[in-house]
Amino acid sequence: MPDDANSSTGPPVLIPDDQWNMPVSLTKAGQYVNLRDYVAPGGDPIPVRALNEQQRAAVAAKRIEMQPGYEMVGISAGIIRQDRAIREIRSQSDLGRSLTGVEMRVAMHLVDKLSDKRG
Amino acid sequence: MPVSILGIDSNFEPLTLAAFNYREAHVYPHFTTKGFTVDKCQGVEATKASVDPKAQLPDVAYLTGVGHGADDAFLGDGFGVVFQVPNYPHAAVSGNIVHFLSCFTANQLGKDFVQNGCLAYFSYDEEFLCPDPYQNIFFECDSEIDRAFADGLTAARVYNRVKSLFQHRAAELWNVPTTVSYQAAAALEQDLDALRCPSSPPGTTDFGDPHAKLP
Repeated sequence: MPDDANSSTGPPVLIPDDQWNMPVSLTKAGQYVNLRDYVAPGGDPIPVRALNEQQRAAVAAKRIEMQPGYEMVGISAGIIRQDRAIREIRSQSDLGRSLTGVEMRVAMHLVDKLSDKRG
Repeated sequence: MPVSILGIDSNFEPLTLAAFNYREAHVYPHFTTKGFTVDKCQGVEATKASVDPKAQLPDVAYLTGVGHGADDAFLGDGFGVVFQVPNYPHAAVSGNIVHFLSCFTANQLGKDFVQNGCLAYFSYDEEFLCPDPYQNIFFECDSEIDRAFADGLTAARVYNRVKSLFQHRAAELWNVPTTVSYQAAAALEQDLDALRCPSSPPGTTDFGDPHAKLP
């Protein structure tokens, strides 16, 4: 875990190891910004809540691409594994928007958690 | 006259079967404990032919079920249509409260039910996500709707109780530092946002009366 995650007082912030390398946003040039770089000083990522729908979909698809064992389940959609999830997100189907929503909630939660820690 | 509830549950594939099993263990016994008569159209009986006459019986006040859904339809066994706009008897929903664990039906079917006399409609306007290994938490949160109505709450208070449970369970999962638990927490929050009922945001009359309750 990077040092900056636990640099202030209080209990340590526990972040799943795999989350540090997953994108949470983009640069203005469209490059992915992972969690580690997002919270590091000096960067200039687009704030995660300022991403537009297309950018959110790009980030979500990349995050799922980095999870070979990805699996989500929906009552109507059934079991959704990695390939299908990415396809649904890129086609911006209703299901794809739901899957994007889940990944981006995770990204926002992590960013908020680390921001709170930094005060 | 005794008050009856009618359960309409698919169980023909693994997801609806999992929800069916949860509801059998945790929903219907609660209604019975609270003094309601429970009738069911489940499995191969989750069909329009079985449901239509039972739902119109005068003692039935509440329909609840799990099944696949579309904007305008609630589906039963083998994806067969149970209710579809506009081809259903209005007497099946008029004066009744309805809760379906089903995707998308709040977009059209629920609003049409309310326009035809349904007192309150609870269901979802997006995919209901329920990832393993936490599925029973999702079923628990959804079926809090049934338990709260059985406990005599109004639709508005039912929503508040359900919202609290979704939020509580999500908070618990956010405290488990794994990617899978985070995704489950996020899915719970998303399912809550997709829940439509009389007092859910943004607050419209599309889904019935916040004061509706079981007799």
